[in-house]
Amino acid sequence: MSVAAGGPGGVAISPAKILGLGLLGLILIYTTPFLGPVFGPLLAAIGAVLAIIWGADTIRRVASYGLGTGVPSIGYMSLAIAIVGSIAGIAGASVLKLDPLLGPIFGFILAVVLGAIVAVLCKTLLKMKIPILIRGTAELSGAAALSVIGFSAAIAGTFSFAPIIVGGTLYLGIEQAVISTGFIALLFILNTMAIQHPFNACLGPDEDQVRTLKLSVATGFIAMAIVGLLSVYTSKAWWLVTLIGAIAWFIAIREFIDASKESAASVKWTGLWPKHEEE
Amino acid sequence: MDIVTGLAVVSLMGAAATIAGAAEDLESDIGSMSNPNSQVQLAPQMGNLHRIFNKAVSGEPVAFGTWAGIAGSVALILLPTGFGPLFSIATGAFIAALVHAVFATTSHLGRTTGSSRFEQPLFLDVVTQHLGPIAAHGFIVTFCMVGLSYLMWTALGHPFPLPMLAVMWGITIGAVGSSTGDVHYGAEREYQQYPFGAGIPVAIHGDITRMAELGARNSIDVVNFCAKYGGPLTGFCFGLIVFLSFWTTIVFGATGGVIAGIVIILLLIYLNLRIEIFARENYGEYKQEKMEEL
Amino acid sequence: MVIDPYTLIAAVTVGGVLVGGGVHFIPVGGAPAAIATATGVGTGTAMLAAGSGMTGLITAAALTGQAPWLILASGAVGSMLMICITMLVGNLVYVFGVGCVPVSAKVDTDPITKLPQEKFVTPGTEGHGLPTVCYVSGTIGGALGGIGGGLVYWALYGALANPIFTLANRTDLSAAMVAGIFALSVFFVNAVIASYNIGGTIEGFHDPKFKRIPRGIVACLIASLVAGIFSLFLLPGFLGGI
Repeated sequence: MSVAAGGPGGVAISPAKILGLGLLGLILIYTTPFLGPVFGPLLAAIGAVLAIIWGADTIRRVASYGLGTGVPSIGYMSLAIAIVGSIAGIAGASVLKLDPLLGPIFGFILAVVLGAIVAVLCKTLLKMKIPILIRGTAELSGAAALSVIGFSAAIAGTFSFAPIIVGGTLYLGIEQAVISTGFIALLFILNTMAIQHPFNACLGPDEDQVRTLKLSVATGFIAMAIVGLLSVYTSKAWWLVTLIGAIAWFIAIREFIDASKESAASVKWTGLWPKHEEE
Repeated sequence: MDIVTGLAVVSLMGAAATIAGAAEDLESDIGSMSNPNSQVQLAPQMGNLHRIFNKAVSGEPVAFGTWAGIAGSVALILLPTGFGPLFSIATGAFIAALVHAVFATTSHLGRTTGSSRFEQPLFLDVVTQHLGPIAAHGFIVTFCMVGLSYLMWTALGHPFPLPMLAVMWGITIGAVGSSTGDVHYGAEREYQQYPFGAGIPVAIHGDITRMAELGARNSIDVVNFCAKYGGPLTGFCFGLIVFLSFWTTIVFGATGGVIAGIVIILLLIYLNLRIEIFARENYGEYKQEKMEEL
Repeated sequence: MVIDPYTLIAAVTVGGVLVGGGVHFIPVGGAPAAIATATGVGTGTAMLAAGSGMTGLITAAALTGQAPWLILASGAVGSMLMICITMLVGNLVYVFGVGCVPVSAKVDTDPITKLPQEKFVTPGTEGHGLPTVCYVSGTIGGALGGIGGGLVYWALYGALANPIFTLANRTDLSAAMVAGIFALSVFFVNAVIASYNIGGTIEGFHDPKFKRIPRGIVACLIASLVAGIFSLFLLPGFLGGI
């Protein structure tokens, strides 16, 4: 889209802080198996939301250079990479008979590697002129993979690919709970939406990082509320995930609407546009 | 499955797809979505303020993939509860419509404030007035999409589960809608003050029609017009796609279906050539004075 | 049909290349085409390719378990049907809704029908609608994309449903779903790489931008090869279970 070109506008929150937020998401996802069937899925889902915020900020940095095909394209490309990476990683940990705990980090690394390879190809072979393309795409793929893994763990209650019994509780495993049911397809498209929507929706010369990130918090939490609904049969914490997702979404969306009203040229309930003097 | 049942199922799927396609295009006109929205976005920059809903929720395929995916997943959760498929799908579509309304609102707010230096005011009644029709059309689309995916999943025994089929058909309907009906909105309704029968030269980009018969034009006025041609045609297009992709296999079997499909494609190429020649013969070449009127 | 791991990697790679190559054939004009300022379908490259690819994948998966050529042919036909009908109806809108002639500004005469183009172009635009050459090009693109998606699906399904590799709990449904989502992802990655290569818009094989196709194919080849290698992690018998 022609609206976006020439690099990101002002940065109020540095990329390093956002990266830290994303890695905090990874840690939260990692606490899932240790916190039992209620708080485990909750923290996994919150970890995924943090990853979505990370992804939304990264997409803001990359796509503000103008990709030639609009903002969403890099969004669904990164989620496609994330799906390949995270399924291969989580299944790989099971298939290689390793500790299932290695699955998420394995999936994260595979996604980052594939993302970086694609970005290197775009930069060298296809001669795309975006300075931060490689780092951006790698970060974005990693964030996307974390969001998929976090939500999958929230639905399944575990990282295990196959069913396992922990402390007398049967966990179906990601294969049965997320992949066989087809929810993985929804995670693909829903997380694409949650990650690319904030920047795509706020695009323009007066785009503002803080406002965009407020929207990314809202899209992340609304995705979390939906993920909670999907885990009705597989997780005891489904109502908690939905409830906390909905409350946090409400707070974030109110913040976003207030911020938008503040920054708008003018806010009117109704009426005609003001007349222009210069014409 | 015998041919008659198969045909009945495929016809029902085609009918649902036709309704979904028409509603999808009209939804994207009410909200001004996808590619024609670039002009709504551009207009304030060229000094043309307006009262049109600026709904930049990504491309239509991703958007409708998401709504249909949410509806399909929620329906899958509700199916075992015994309320029956209709109730389950309707509830799924309802939740999808709520999410849809939220995303539509945020993109209008975001895009309007994102270019606030061009003085485009944020009209709150534009948001409230359009949200209802947007969510309602979205509901019709997702209900029909999940319904046809459900038919495919249960009656035709497709190996993909319901949410996957819903997402895939959602992506397809978005691609169809933004390729066909949206052109009627973008190239005709947005530029209605210019004469019919020409493309839109770059020089007039952003000079969209902002006044209606009475007062300022809003996106409901847009949809009144597009419902007469762009919408039904999109429905016809998507209905035909869904119907033909399965009709051939059901009537002619797997191998025969492939051959029948190729024959249909060759016919379509010929039909397109006839339309092209019709337009050339009846409309003729562009003459320079015609453009000077612009 | 037993799919060994090397066939799987090869199929994912070739499938990815077919998808990426196919996208170069699909005539899309992006936002300018949606307002009749450029020739092609009025949507984004990856979007239209994805729409046709999804139809192809659905029709290919409907024949799961049949002979491989049938699955590929069914994917190609589904994909071509989607894109042909979409382009035809798109043209109906251009001709009867907007009132302009389908015409390309990139060539003087249509390479297929030999009809002159230049005088039918609205001054100030780069053409509008879908003349026959674009239509045929789009049909080829749809076919390649459909075959590519179907190939990835067929190979992965064959590998996962293969008794040598099967986990005790694996059902056919899960094999179809894993194969389906993997094929979908490989499709999207390659479609976006290809659309970056053509910079968002192209008219078809007669467009000067089409000369960029070798670079796009190499990029898709490498990316799909990596995805193919990753897909080995899904096969229990190959890496770990032996």
